[in-house]
Amino acid sequence: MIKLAWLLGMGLTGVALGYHFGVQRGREIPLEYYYNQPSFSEVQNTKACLDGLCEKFRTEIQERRLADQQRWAQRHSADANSEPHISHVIADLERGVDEFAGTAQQLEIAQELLLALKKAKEFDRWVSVYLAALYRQPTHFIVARLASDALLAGRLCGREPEVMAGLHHVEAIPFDFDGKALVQAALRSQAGHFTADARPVRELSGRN
Amino acid sequence: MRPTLSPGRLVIVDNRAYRTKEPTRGDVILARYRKELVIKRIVGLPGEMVELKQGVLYINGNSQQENYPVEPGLLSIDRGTLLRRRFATLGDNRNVSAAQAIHPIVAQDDILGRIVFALGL
Repeated sequence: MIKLAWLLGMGLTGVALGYHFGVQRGREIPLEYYYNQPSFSEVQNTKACLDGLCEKFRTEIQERRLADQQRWAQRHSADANSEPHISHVIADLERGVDEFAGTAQQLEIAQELLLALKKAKEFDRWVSVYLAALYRQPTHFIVARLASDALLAGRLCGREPEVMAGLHHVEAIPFDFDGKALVQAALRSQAGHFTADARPVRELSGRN
Repeated sequence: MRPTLSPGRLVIVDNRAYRTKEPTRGDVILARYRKELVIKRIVGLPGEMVELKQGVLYINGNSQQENYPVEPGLLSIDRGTLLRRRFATLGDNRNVSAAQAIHPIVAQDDILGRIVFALGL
């Protein structure tokens, strides 16, 4: 009886472990869960699929990022917000920006990349990514929303003239669009500051 | 595909139905879709603009009389114009949300046959 109970227990343990690891291996959520097909138009449904791909990509990066953060915090009793592995996140997001090149979703990924670069205090790269987005899709709302941040980042890494030139390019677009007023406001708020202190401020990398 | 077909029924498929004629609106078909097989009803033909508004089917802007059993509901699916050799399909249950509805647009080559009979099990 004891032997039988022992065998039964081992068997159940094996099944439980197999199920657990099987579930872990099969954890990837299918793409279909990230979007639904909104219409009878194949074009619209393909756009929805692209949105779903982008959302899946962002979710998976965010999951890995959180997992890395937690592991680091547990092993080193560190602040849960510290991210020594942020460079991995940045590399993944840069690959995503390349992968989604030419699509509307590229700027969604670029926005995540800008957040990560800001966290890592990589202001020079931040400005490069922002200007690339600005010249590719100048009327996109992300460009307008981050206009003030761009001027600040530009000042921190000595590239404010480039940022100003980019924002003037956006301001010069001869029709109205969402966010144009934000760009104009950012330019107006910086006009006095730029002429007053035109020196590059590379040393102040810690100031957000 | 309720109320026409309920889960668990055995269906007989005529895989030669479309060798000499084109699929027509109202046919219940077996088709390949995203690595699976689906059973749906053809509601739109190539070149047509198809739309579902609150459970009512519209073809090229005109409401369509559907002469088969349909579970009434308020399902809506935005309009789209079907490309060459593409058929719009839909389940007969309109009482589902847009997020749950599966309405594949299938290529003619992915239509495997027409459902001709269903056996209750």
